[in-house]
Amino acid sequence: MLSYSNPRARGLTLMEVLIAMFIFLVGIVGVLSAIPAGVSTAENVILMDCSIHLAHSKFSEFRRDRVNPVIDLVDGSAYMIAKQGPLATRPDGSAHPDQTDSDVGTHGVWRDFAYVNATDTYHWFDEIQRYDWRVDQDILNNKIPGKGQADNGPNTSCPPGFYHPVMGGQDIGLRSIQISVRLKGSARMFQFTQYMYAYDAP
Amino acid sequence: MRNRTLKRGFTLIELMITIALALSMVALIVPIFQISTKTVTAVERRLTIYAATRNILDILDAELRLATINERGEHFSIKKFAYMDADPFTPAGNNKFFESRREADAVNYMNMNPGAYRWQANSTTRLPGSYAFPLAYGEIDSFNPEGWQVSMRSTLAYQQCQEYETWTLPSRATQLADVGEIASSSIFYSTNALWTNTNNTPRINMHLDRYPNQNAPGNEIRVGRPFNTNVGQQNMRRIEGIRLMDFDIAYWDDTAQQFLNVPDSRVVYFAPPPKAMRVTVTVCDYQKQGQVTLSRVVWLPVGLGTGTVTASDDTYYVTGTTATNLIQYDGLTQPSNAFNRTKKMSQLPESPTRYKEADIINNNGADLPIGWP
Repeated sequence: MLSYSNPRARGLTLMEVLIAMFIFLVGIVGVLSAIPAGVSTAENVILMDCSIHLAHSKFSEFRRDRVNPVIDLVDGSAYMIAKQGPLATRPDGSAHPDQTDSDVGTHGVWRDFAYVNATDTYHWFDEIQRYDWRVDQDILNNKIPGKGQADNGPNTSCPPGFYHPVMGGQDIGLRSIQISVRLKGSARMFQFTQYMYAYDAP
Repeated sequence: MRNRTLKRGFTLIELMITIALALSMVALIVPIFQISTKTVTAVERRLTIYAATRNILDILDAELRLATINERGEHFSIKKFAYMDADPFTPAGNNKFFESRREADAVNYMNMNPGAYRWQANSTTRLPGSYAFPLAYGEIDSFNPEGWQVSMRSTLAYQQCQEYETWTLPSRATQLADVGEIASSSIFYSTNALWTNTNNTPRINMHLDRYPNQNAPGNEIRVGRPFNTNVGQQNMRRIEGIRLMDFDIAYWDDTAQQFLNVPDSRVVYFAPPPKAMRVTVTVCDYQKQGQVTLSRVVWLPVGLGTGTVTASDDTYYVTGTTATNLIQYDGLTQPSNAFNRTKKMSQLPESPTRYKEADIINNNGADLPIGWP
């Protein structure tokens, strides 16, 4: 005879249902917890995007101003003080904690992109107050090794008229300039490098 | 016969408790899902806008660096236009970028950029080192262009002509009513093809220097030629179509140490070009649910000038068809005071549904009408 039910079967207990629901909830929470990670990644992409625009703009500014990297891009130089943005600030104008980072002495100080006044270069850049930047000072001091040079040592013999870096000729200020753009108050940053040389080199 | 005696199901109380718990979970989870979905959608939209902004700024940066000048006085000019939109997407007000004022500038120059994809489907005869589609639509008959006459602008300033019978391009009024319709438009005319004496026969046996001042003040590209005719296909490439609410060009004034804008409805012909420009764009998505304003400083390798605009001449750049009204007439009477001055432009005309300048091109190579700003 065909039976439609198992006489030994019993229903789920309330405890079983609760456990099942708890497991289901844990799964859902696990899935949802991935979303903030995705959002965070997206924010990183936006930071990368903005960093590209801002770092390229800084390199363009340096070339526009015909800087001598060795002199002008050093923290505290007349150029950096007079022509570049102020040190990193909070929206209320007070000093941002980034200014006292432990690596400032090695890598350089963090600066704002000039934005406060309508005539400032970055005034119209969305959320510009969230970013700061610096020229990495430790890299700035490294000369580019030329052909025949095993290290970044002093320039060696070379006929007059030969310029660095080929065969270690006269130093024309060729340097690898690295700009870091950072989301203020975080460890998130992107770094960009271009070679530049001194416009007024002999 | 069914056995119905030994099975015990839920009691009503258990069932109610279970349902209540399930509903509570749903009530808890659904809002979280909604918030998460909204967040993801917003982030994706934001990323899309940023990507579009990066694309247009990268293109502008790369192309502007190729700007050149030569001894014939080919110019580098910035035109300044602004219009008030009627789109509720933007709040009322006349402030830049955030309100109803739409920036629609144009920058015109000559670049040395030998080659793009030749306009052939199989591309087997592509010029070595040339751009590939879609970065560039190449040309056919001007085999080795030395350079391009360039105009980077927004469709709000210069509406595109109707290129296909069924393609209705938005007028300025339409764009101002729906700012999502405004797009970038960059037009490149091959310098070789500018010597056409018929509508489709470039005179490639002539050297570039035989035809002076093709990009002198007053001869810059205005309403573009249609791409779908032989006139267009044979001598231009285009990069366009990124939705661009604002296109703002500021030049670097070395004396003021600031980026400055050309006053509204004015043009400045720079000689030499300024040392740098700042391009600021506002990009929105098609649904107009988000927007971003970003800028890029672009260094101009040929920018040797101080960028100082010395004088203003409101009557100089006027609409007209006679020589006395023109900034530049035949290349031989280049006025010495044409450069580094602010000149007023007349009101831009609406783009015709048909391309009227093509009629001039077809007219045995006569000069384009001067006076269409």
